[in-house]
Amino acid sequence: MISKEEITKIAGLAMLELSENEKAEYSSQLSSLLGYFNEIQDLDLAGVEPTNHALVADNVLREDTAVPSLGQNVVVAGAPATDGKSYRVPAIIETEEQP
Amino acid sequence: MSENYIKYANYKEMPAHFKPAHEIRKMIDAKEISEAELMESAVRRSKETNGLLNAFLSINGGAEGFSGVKNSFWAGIPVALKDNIVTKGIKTTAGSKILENYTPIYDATVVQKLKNAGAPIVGKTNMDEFAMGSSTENSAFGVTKNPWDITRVPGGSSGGSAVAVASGLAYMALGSDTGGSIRQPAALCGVCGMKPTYGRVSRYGLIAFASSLDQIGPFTRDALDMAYALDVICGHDPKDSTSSAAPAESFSDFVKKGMDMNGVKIGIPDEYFGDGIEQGVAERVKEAINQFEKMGAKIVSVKLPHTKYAIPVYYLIATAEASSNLSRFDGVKYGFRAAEFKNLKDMYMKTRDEGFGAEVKRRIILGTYALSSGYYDAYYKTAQKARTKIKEDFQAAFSRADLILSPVTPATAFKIGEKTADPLTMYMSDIFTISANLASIPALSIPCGLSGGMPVGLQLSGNYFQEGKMLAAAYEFQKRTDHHLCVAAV
Repeated sequence: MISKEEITKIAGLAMLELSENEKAEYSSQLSSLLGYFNEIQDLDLAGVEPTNHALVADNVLREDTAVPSLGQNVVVAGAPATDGKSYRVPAIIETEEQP
Repeated sequence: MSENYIKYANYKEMPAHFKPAHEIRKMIDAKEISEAELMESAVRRSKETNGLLNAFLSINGGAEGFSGVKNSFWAGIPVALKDNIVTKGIKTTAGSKILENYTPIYDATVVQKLKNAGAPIVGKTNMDEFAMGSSTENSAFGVTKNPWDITRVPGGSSGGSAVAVASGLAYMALGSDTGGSIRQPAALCGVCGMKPTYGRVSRYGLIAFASSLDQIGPFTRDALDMAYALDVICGHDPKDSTSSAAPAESFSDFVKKGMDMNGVKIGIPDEYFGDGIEQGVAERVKEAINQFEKMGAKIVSVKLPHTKYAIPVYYLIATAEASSNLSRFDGVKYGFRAAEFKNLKDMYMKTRDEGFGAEVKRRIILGTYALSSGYYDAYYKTAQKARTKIKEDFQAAFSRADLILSPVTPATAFKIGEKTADPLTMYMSDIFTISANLASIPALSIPCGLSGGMPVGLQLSGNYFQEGKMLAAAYEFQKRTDHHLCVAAV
């Protein structure tokens, strides 16, 4: 069983603000999903290597050569808020109000 | 009541919009039809049917795409693209509100390859949001309807691409397949759909869902068109370090040469023919097995004992990867940002809450849980180990068989709304397709008849990089059968 409190904590890690209704719904749905998913715990997996790579695990390297890239103005053009060169975001460091 | 489908005796009888691309190629070359007429017809039919079917999220004007490319199979032949494949200057939403205003500044590698081959793009097709779903009901822009019966789903997540080919709106459409998202809608809409070997096709420019499982692949009318489609999209790409350097033969040349089916070993996994399969589906697949036997193939029994663990393993790994991949949608770099917020963190949280749909949020939560401290070993790591067992099952099976044959889905297309209430019921519809993604092997869905007037799909899987053999066997089957000549009456 995943409680609503746990859902709230997980949602915080995932940067999702959920409504009370969503929390209740996900708590019950994920509990039943995980109940079913728990059958993988029955498998004897001692000594089995996890699949960390889908197919090939070799490193892929290339020459470190400079190639033309997209312009800064082009890259930021699709952002919801921009000054033409950078992304605009709300203040990251909040200042305390002076007494 | 008139039939919901038309069965043609051969390709010659078919109207041009239903013909396979290889027939259209001959007509263009013989000047029986022009490239402009083809695109005009595809765009007109797409616009006319979109109110009913909702296959497309955007349809091109019609004039674009004529590059004057010569000596290319796809030159002038209209194609469609799933809306999670980025297209320079054409809105790409991945079926999500969070990307409703996103216009990419570059082309995915597969789009660049199609442009180089001269294929005009009809439009971008509807899909489950971020490819998360099995019915196209999770799109933020409305459900796509199955052209065989508009009260039923087309499957998903690449439902729009399946419908585009099934309804004669495009000769080839690209989709993406993370757990069956190409093969399942292909089966439910009566067309061919293929998930190539992991790495066969570059994922550069595919909006990521689960990076170790995602693969781009085509929808086509028949197996020969599939070979031509793979010819153009596959190959190593320096922009995708997981794309394979495995040599790519000409699949179309290989398929056209023909294949002697005598002695080809086709494995039938017992685990795929148990309870819960619709009778008509089991019967059509058994008839297909008999057909292959008649063609000289040797039918052998194979075991895939970890099949029953595939759904939990898949949904733990896929959601874990998705929770990480989707962290990039934060209201800063592209798309949607919430209108009101108190500070930066509040902006992230409100943007993601308002921008993502219910299924996407459900999967982000599940994936974050599976990766979180205290649960990582029990869920994510256990699932990765179980994935190894599933891979080993297939390697053992391919030591006994050249190809594996199974149903694609347990049942034909279900009703719209039938499975939306319970996520697990929806997830179970992927039971026969997800193992191929976990094992990274190629798998193909081709039509094999009807059950209750709705199409049934047959799945052929092969070992790594055996696409040529799979397509050749499928084409030999299609030369001797007429299931692929049966199309939805649109």
